[in-house]
Amino acid sequence: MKSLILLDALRFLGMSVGSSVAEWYAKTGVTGYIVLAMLVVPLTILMLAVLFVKPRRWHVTKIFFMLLFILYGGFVGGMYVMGVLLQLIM
Amino acid sequence: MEMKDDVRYLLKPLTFTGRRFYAFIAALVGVIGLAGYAWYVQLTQGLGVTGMNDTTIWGLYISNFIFFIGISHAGIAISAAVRLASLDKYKPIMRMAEALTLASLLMAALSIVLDLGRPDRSVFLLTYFLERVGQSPLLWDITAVATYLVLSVTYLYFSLREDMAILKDEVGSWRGKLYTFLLPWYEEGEEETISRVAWWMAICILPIMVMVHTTVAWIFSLLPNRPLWFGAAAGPYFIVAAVSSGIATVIVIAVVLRYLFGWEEYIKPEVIKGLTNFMAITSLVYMYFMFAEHMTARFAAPAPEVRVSNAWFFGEFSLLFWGMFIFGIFIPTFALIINAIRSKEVNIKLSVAASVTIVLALWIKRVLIIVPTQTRPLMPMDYGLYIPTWVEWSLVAGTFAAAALIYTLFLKIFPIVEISEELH
Repeated sequence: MKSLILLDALRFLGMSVGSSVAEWYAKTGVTGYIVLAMLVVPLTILMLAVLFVKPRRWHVTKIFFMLLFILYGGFVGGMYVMGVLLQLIM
Repeated sequence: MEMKDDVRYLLKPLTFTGRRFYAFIAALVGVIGLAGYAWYVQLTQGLGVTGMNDTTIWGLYISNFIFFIGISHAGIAISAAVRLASLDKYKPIMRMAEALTLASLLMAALSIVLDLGRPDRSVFLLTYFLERVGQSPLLWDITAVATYLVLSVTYLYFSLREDMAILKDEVGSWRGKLYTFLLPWYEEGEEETISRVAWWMAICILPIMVMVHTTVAWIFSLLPNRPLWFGAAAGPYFIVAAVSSGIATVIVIAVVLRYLFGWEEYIKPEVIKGLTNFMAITSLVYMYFMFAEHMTARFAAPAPEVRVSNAWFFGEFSLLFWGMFIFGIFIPTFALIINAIRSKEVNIKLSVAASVTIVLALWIKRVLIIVPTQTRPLMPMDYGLYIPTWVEWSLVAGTFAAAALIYTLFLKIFPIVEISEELH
């Protein structure tokens, strides 16, 4: 009898937690963030590895982060410039 | 560092320019010029000048995008195999594959821009990024491709540093100046650190590479109202095709460069053999995925799935499908497997022929993935019809010409082989 009550309580708890998570999931679109995390996590690991790589050559670390900044910035800036230039034709 | 003659001959692309080079460049520029005019027509008159319509909203441009993303996988796959698994025999083709990644990723990004009726509005992808990224596979894909491109360029740059330092006094005045400009803070002995950084990059780029093509697959496979698109296996399906077509392209490039510059002793037949065998295996796996896809679509599947599968097998796409499958994938794959079993020596001509047909077949396959599903919508609409126009064909040809131009110019500006590896 006691075990049945316990099982029922666990089931009720599981459903409460599950429905709260489901509600939060539906509101936040967490799937996209999980996908982004699958990109961001390796990138973060790489950045940390480059920061602490041995033998230490700070100019290599500097160049790595500069390249990331320049290339990402170039991608974003390039999209903006492309938009402006194309407006002249369209 | 003094350079011996047996290494100096690897600099032939940098030190010798024949008439064929200029003729080739002129042809590429001509094709790009035509593509430029086609794009001008499309921008000023709208997407109505293409074959795309209300039912078939994606056509050759998106197929082209998936194709170029696919072949970009070869670069980092080969590089990672060399660095992480110590497959040193593939070192001669590492940079050839990495340069292919650069050219093909740029053309993949361009293919998306070409598909946009209002490419000037693509900046909204950035301004509304945080708002939409939770729910948009397109944004996941753009983020993944941008990250992959940034890391591939960084990886390529680091691998070039030592070579540029060695060659800046050997390769003429303008290249020497360019190399000096591209070598800020160069120190003798930095190679050990760069080697460790490159090792970490190889490890971290691999999951990003997998995510790139998986997010491309999810653009289609997360749409439940699209028969034959919606499914769980799209990610691995696309990745296998990517690796197969990427390796095939690397084989063609390696053999062409081997022939043009007399590098038979440098790019040994064993390298071609290894790549060919791997390509054959991935093509076999791809055929298995195709079988699984249509088995699912035809055995007790919902009617819309059967309709699309019928369009492939018996409908207006049947000639394209059976031609692509039999002559483009089935025959080349089994010819390579039989050759591998019967002979210890690689048949380089067979490898190249099979590679070219596999690349062409997988381009056609991407069109078959995109178009038939759209022509058989779930909604009560007439079956769609898609006939690409000269604008689309010109722009697709332009992307191939631009990729070839980028690659050829890279070949002329930077060493396409790792000189530092040969000197150590």
